[in-house]
Amino acid sequence: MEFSFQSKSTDGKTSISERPENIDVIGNEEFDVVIKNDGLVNIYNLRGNQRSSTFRKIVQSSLDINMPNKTGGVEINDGKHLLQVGPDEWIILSNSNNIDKQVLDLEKKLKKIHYALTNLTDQYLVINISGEKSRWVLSKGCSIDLDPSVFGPKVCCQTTLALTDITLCCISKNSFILFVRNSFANYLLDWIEDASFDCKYKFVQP
Amino acid sequence: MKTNPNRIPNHPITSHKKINFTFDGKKYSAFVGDTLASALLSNNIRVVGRSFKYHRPRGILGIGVEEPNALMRIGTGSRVEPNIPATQIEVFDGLVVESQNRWPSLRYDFGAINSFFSRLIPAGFYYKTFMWPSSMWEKYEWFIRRAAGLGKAADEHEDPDRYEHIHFHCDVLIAGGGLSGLISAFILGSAGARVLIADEKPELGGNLLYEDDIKIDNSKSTSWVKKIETQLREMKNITILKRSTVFGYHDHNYITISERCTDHLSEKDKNSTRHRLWKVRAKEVLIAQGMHERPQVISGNDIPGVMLSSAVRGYVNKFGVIPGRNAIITTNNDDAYRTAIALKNAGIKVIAIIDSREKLSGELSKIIKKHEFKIFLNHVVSTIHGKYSVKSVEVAPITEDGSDLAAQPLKIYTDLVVMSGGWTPIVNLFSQSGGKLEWDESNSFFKPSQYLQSCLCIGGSNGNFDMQECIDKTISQSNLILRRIGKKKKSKIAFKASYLNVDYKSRNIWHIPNGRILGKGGKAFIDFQNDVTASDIHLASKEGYVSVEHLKRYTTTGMATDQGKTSNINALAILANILNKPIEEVGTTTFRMPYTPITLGNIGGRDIKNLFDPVRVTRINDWHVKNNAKFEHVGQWMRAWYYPIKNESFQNTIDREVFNARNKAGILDASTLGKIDIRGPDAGKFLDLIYTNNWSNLKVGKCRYGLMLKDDGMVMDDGVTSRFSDDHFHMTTTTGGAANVMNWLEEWHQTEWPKLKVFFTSVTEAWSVISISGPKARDVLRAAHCSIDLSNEAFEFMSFKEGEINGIPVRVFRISFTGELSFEINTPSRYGIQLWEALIKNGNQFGLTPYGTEAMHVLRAERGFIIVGQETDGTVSPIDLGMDWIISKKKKDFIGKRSLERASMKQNDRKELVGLLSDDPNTVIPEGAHAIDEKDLELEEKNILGHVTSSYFSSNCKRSIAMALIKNGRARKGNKLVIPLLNGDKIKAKIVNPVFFDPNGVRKNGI
Repeated sequence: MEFSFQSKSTDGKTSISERPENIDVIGNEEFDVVIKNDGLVNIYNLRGNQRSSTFRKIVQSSLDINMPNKTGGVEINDGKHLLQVGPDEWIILSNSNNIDKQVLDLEKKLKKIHYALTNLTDQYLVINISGEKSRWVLSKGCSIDLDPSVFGPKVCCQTTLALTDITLCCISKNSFILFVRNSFANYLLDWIEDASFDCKYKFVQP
Repeated sequence: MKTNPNRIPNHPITSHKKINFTFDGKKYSAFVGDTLASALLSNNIRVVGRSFKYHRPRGILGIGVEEPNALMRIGTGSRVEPNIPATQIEVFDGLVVESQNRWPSLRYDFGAINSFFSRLIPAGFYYKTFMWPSSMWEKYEWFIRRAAGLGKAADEHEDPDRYEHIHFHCDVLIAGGGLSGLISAFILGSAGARVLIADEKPELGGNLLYEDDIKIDNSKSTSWVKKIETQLREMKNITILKRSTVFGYHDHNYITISERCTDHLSEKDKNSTRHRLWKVRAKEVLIAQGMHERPQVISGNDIPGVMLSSAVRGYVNKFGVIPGRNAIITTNNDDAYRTAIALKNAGIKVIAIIDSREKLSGELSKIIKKHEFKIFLNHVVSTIHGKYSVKSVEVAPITEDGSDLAAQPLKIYTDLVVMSGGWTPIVNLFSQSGGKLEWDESNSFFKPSQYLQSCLCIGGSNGNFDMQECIDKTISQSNLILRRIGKKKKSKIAFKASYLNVDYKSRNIWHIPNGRILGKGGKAFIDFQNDVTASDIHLASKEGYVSVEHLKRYTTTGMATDQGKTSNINALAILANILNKPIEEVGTTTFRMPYTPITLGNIGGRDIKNLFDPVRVTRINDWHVKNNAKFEHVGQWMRAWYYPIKNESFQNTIDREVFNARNKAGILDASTLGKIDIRGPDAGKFLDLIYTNNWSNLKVGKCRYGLMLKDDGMVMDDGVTSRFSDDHFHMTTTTGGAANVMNWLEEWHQTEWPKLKVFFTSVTEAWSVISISGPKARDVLRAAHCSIDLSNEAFEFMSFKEGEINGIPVRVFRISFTGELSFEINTPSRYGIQLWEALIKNGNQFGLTPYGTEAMHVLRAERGFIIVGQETDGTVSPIDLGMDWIISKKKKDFIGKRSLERASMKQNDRKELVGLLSDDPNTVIPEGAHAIDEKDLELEEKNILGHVTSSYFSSNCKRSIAMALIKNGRARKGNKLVIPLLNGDKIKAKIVNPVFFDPNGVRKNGI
């Protein structure tokens, strides 16, 4: 017996919409930090044996994406991000239309091997932070090495930002996806806004 | 306004912008680039503070963080900050400063009366004086507290400034931007290493900033610093922090730095972060903090106008300050001769150089001839005279062993005493890192010996005096660091210094005799900040304080804001002399963090106000807020506590909510409950090990209550777990225990049973949970268009079904925490508020009442259901709770099983869960109150039987009810207990079964 439901978010509940951009910003000047609600992002937690070639093959073929080859690795394809957040744990982030179908296919094919696939779309708020000073702002609360030479594109980790647990993924030069449990979202957005006080920043709705 | 009478004409600083500051209410002028110390000296202000104990007038002694005397209270209003050394304050236009520890004024200080009674207040006097009679302590304390401390904190408590933290990683952190620090940064940076270099001053260069007689690569030292800084700034892999003190060296090369961002700016510009705490993780650390010059322990060495030699040279060379007009130099090493030359070049008269050594040698002896200084070799300054300023000194030859004067002293009039008692490497950070020091007899200082962490001391911190030797060693140490961080190519960078090659070896006469018996002829200070004299060390030793750690605490030497930067070695050496032991045998005290004081704001950072701790709310929170809910903290969650209607009182609200939930229907937001998805073919087997009861036999579609124990057999958590499929379970935990339970499962799986095929995923926030409870619960769901057959037959107690309510997908569990007919409805959390509103709308007709956590507590207590953390405290077993029924007798093992089998678990003095009914039904016993047996009431030593765990007024029982943990409680049923209260009242109560309502549990199927 399995429970399933339509996985698209409907209420878009975040407090980003209530946050104005930094009032000091004038005209079309570039922003140092842009904080964006990534909106309709489906999130799945996948557990399995990374050394099982069968498991890897099924995941790659069903999701049409390569699997990262180590913890902290990220693969990106067709609107999907596959983050390896532990030795036997991956996160699938996707805003593509056919993700539900792909996930069903994946579950069907994995039936005979030990795995777990859990829909966590409702658990998290996904935020995109980008801009020249995004690393500076994140460094105020995140203890990992965010230098581009260490935490560059296609690198992820589970860490903390200020007093919350987050998963952080660098998707391009100064652009990050960050997801946090919904109950911490207000605190975290308050913190990001506060930490951005020395930057030109803005919040953007999807 | 006062001008700058003591400034060298045409010194470069005089071309800087003129600015004004206020000291003790009077306005003075300074130049941009001045420190408060240089500005005060240039304005001929000698007395800048009063000493801690004796309130003696004190002047400026040093030029940097070592300054013990010139502590200031700076700023105005809520920005006031006390105890800041004048040497570390950069003057800005409008700076307001006050001297400290004086009343009514600096010149006429009432506290100076202490000087007259100094014989009565020697070291440790408060330990002796305030011992008796003990009843007077509170009176003494009032005076001691008023007398203690130096500066006064701000009267306004709201700190207007912003403080931040920042995390940073690097290959190499260099603490100190002097000669060695800069050379290392240049070598490491050129090789591509990620380097952070931090210096406490506003400019890089360290002591090079104060020197006028050094050239590096044929450039004047100050020009060389500028040139190398420019080159460092061009390297993107180098981060330079100025005004930043490396104050803490923690485990694993974790370093903390305090960056002072706005302290040097005028009020109108202080609109940014004031202090930034850098939390640095470095692969390697280079400690390049240099050395501190030691004072000489001479009678009267604290009189304003007595200054360290290197400080005087710095004030003259860098700030163009004339610290005095007629200088006497007293030294035991060559370096002070450089100061003599600097003074002479600045037009300041050097009356004489008093040198305790027998002869001069090397390069100095040749060069010094042309300056024609009057030099007294084998002589000492034995006493310094003056009160508010130095007036004269006594100079005499010294005996061969340095213990006495060899002839009557000669009196010389002077207004400036320049002293050098040798040099001490700054090893504070090295010691904090866990490194071991060794005594260097030839140089008379402790220097780094064994390293515990990945760091190296370079330059002065490593005990290197000679400049070229310093440079060469720094280069080789930097190459070593390059290898250690994986850079194979050796650097070929080299630097050549030209300088006056002086001998830093000193003749140490640790306590200079004054021709009188000990304690006579003026105080010879060791620790200026704590007013500790050489006599105090002698006294402490005589009284048995011969361990250096005891000496420190008894005399307070080496304590307070300067942490003994100028006093430590002198104190150790004098103690060693008294004990007739080598200094290394006496040892050092412990150097602790912070190296220099930092603000509390710096430590707190942004963890203040709304960012102090996250507040978690459910997805239904907006409804609770709109509907006047009052909230309570449950861990980090903010849960709806109760929903008063208009001005309804707390008790009336709870009575109404509890009554309606039992007699109509109640609705509760239970989304905060922990939820864990458990999958895998061995999931059932794993749960058998985790819980006390059996799980592998749970049928698909069914739910079961479970109790989780720690390995000591004590209750850890509880909750209902349901079986979704053969290999898929859904566990619920307590709200506060969710994260711990998740970690618990992972820990046991990963460490003890890794072969079991099972995965855990926390899904707490993926689901909103709404509980509908009460006899009308079924009607409410039906009215809300529930697609599930809710009849008792189709939907049994302790099972779950999936369907829709009002078109919203739901999973409904028929479980009950109230004892009533209940449905716990789970829906993907995005639908939480929609579902809640739909249920409220359709439930109104049945009297559906939202209830909060308080009513929930009452409802479960009426039925005798426990709450983990309320009825348990980590020392309570399931047997204590009367829940033996949940412990499987058949299972071979589960966590805590072995502990439950210990004989002590069944002893009859264990506290057991019972119910209590107070004699007066309207009296609610306070939770936490202790209970004693009625017959023990008259005993002087009361035998406490236990305590009340939960207590409420129950509107359904129409009386108060309570649960308690009482020794051998179940055997005492029917006995009377007494609960004595703090106000002297006593509540009498009877021990009963802890089930107060529906004892047969029939209401869960609806009535």
